[in-house]
Amino acid sequence: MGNTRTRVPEIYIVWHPNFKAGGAIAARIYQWLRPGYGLGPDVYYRSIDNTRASRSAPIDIPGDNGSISAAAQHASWAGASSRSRRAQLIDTQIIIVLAECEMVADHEWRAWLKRQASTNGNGLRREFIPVSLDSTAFNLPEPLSAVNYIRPIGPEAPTGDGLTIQSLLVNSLLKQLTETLCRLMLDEQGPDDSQTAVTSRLDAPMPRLSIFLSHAKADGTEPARLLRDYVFGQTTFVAFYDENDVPYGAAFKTVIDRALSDSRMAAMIAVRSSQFASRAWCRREVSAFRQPRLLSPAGATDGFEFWRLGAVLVVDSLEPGEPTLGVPEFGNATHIRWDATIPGLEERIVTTVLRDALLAQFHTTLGYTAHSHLPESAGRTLVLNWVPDPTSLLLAMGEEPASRVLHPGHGLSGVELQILKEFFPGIEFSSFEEMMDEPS
Amino acid sequence: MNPAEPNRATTVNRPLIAISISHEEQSLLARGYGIDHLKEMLQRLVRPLIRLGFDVAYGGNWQESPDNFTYEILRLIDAEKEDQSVTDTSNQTTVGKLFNHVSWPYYLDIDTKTEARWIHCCRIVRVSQDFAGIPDHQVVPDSDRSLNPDLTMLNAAITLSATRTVVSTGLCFNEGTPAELAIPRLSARIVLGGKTNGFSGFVPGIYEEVSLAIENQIPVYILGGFGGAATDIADALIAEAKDWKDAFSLDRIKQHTPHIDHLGQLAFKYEVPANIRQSADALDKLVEGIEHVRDPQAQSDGNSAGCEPGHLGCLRTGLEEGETRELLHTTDMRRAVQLVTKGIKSRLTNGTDIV
Repeated sequence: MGNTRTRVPEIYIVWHPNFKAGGAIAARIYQWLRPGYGLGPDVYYRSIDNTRASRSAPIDIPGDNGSISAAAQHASWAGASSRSRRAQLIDTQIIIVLAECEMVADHEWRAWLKRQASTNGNGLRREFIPVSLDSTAFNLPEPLSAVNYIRPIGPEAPTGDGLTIQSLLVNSLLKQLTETLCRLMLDEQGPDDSQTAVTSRLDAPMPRLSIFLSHAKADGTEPARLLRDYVFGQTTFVAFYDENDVPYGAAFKTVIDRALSDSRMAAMIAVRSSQFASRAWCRREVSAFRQPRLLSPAGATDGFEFWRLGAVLVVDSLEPGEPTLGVPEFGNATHIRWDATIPGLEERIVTTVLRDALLAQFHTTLGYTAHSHLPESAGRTLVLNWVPDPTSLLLAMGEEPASRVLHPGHGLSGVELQILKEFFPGIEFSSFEEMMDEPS
Repeated sequence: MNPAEPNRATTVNRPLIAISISHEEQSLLARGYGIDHLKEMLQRLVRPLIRLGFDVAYGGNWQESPDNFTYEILRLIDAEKEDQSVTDTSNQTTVGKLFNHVSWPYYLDIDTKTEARWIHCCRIVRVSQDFAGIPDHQVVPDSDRSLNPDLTMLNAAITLSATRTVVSTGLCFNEGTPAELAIPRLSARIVLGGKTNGFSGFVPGIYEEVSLAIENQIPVYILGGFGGAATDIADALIAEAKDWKDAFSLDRIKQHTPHIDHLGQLAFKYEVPANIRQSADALDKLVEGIEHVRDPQAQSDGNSAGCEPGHLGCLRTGLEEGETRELLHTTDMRRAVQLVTKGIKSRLTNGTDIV
């Protein structure tokens, strides 16, 4: 995934104020897309506008008035002379519409939606993702009604006060939304944005992005096989699974190396069982996938290097009470404990690693879009798409020392920083958010 | 707290920054935000302050609820302290703590176990009826609150107002009071949101807090772009129209908060300590404070009046005039945090306001 196309989105979640569950669903989406301290894209809400008497349709999504992002529009309303640096980087607006009967039947809302859909974002790409929350949702005004909706499974969305959100419905929504956003953000073979200002990227032919499943067959195949079946049966992705994907008579090394370096390989799930650490092929797969890759974006300033690390999720399938070796290549990858008795765990695992892949791509684009706004420094500056750990940083650093490392988020904790400083004395660590929050 | 001779604090170990922040759901939502945005903003405001060793004052209660930020701040301080405990402590500033000023009868809900659990992160400052100056014959025993709801309502409003004064001015009990027992004077106040109806006490809390800050020459950062009482004040500070005072008329306040009338009747029937401002007086004092900030003479006097030069200089933000104006109206949370952090560092890290 070594492209240089930048796409820094801001997300809008839209719901009708009479849809009582809307706020809670929006909050879950927010927490899903912004999982940590300063990680992930900006998320804004559109539900009410109490600055007008009608209190029906919300304020417009920025674009109509020539501003370039929500934050920029906020600043322009106030007549401000400056705005946050991050606001200047946005080039895509993704609008998630929680559609149900209240929205469908409200004429003022229908007009508002049509206006948002017909507005050219003034240089911003605008993508609509409607979500069907009851059977009337498909009666939204055109052009929204013409697109394929996210259709979460579960009962129809609750209405009225005090009803709880069905976790089944929300989990299903997050799964489908994550896949859709992956397609928007990870598809590097799609149409050139500059040629298709109006056409949605979601209209483009579907690429088949992959998830690599790394597992030790000696410990059995259950988690890996269930995950493979889930990916093929329940998602728009494919899984690389050696039993299926290494043809009889083919060289393992050639096939696996090709798969790991394929630009469509979005993420890896490593099933860490008892013998995983001692299996050479498993270690090699993880090591190869966790190898940071140097990108070559157009317009990069001298002295800045852009490094990308793929998303890895470790499924802990160790035998209780049995000792096993550590796997240093995992670094600070997310872990989930496998438990066959938990229903829907495959969905949670796959959706989580896809979300992490999405965030990895977002932080990649944010890094190289933002770097021109950051102060230059003498020596090498490494711009990472991950929160650094000693192992992965060592691989990116190589033998020539860097003077500065920029990473996602809003800053490292004291202990994280101290550990990194012990390994890499003299290097300055700064987060994108900290750098962009510095007063100009 | 029931000191014999409370004095205004004159010495503090380190700056105390008060944060008044509330989740005014409708106002925030109309601007495209929800409670998660507010929590993230709070983190981004508080973390750099406590890492600088500044203490933070937040007057929230101790009930775990989505829109109460007491535990958000406590968990943040706890994590920072734990983090610091495992790293090299040489040349490190001690992480700041929370001052939770809480008035009668609300402090009665805080049990000893809860206080002990968070004692390393928090100092609870209880402001009693006695301390607020309520005469002995009018003090309501803790166990009798339900027997005398009217007097409980009045005394709660009085102690709430007294608590806001304590936050602003701090206090030490006498000359020999160890510094760690003194209640520090406020070094700066940050306000966002704030109820304008259905509030407790004589006036909306943010009205009284901003009024006290201006009066006591305390830097005040008004984030007016996010609705509530803070927006009322921000609008008034830069309003062109001459009718800006109407927003702070007693009649307008009463329209949405009927208990103000009842509170006035109770104040007439019982005694209210002379230093406590009732609704009309408190609103007048706020208007006076806003007029002072708007006053061209005060602006031209600059430092002689304890203000910074230029328009809005009497807010003492440490920012350029245009930045202070931007802070009053920006709806960009990132920008607001950026401006507050810049201003506080400018004001407080050069020592000019650390007394």
